[in-house]
Amino acid sequence: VLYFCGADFYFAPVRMNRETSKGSFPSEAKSPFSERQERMLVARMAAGDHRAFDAIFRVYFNRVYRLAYKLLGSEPDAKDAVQEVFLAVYQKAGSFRGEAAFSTWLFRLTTNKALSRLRRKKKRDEVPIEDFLPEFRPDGHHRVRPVADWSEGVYDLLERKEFQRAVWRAVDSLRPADKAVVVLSDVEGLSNGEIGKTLGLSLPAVKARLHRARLFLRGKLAVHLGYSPT
Amino acid sequence: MKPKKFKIKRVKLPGDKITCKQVTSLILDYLSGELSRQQARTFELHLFICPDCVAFLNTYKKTVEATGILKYAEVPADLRRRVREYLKKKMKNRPAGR
Repeated sequence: VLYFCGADFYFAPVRMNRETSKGSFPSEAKSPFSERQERMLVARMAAGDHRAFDAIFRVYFNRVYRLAYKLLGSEPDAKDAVQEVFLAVYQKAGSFRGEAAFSTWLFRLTTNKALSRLRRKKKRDEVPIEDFLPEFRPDGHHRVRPVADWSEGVYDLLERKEFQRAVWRAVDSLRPADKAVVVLSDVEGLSNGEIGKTLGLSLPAVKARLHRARLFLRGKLAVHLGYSPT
Repeated sequence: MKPKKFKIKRVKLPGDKITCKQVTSLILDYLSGELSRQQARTFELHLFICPDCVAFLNTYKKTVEATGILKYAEVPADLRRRVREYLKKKMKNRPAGR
């Protein structure tokens, strides 16, 4: 439905949170193994079968690396996290109960390993989030008016390396838990409920973090494009 | 005789039921379709009279879209082999988990 508002048009709401059935690397293609085959491979791995480990490693290496990279933002950190994850997979294979799919278990393991690395990292890139959030007057109107609509030219900008780097930098400057929520939601396409389960957060906490992080990113991108963050 | 002073009173429009601040706090639920029909209508009525909130909503949606570019993370060539070699060494000394 197309609505009219002054000189601007906007579309009716669309569901931006894609519902996924499992939190198992949703942005990637499906595993070639069935759940039963995966359970058997994990059982063999727990019994010390290196070939079973190799099969799991071959299938999941790229997915684990990509998720770790998105969360950590650097190749060396992502590489270390991947090593930790696969070592943990080998050592903890026996603790996999098979209640969820193996890929879901691996997805959570990767997220949590990356998140703990992120928390240990020096916090030099973090900036005060409040500087990039919208500000309002006492009567509830936007403090800076008119609000610039820079959304029009972004299609071309998305192709430019320099803008892509600005997006990476903005995401990198989020606090670890906020970054994890944004990556899992807006990059991996998990539902808010799945993010809550993965990170151990309540649904309202996930929504609050996601909204605040998106407002911050919006402010950072506005500043990058030469507009007021508010 | 002093001229009578008239107070100019702004006519209240249906979109005035909520403020820009309240609209901003509802964006996430609006985009994920989690607002009630009444809330969504109030939200949209505000957009009808407020170009600032339309601009804000448009840029918020573009931000979500822009974040999606992180999807395309490349895996460095040779990394898989290097990690596998590291793991082989580590796994030699450690038994598999049971």
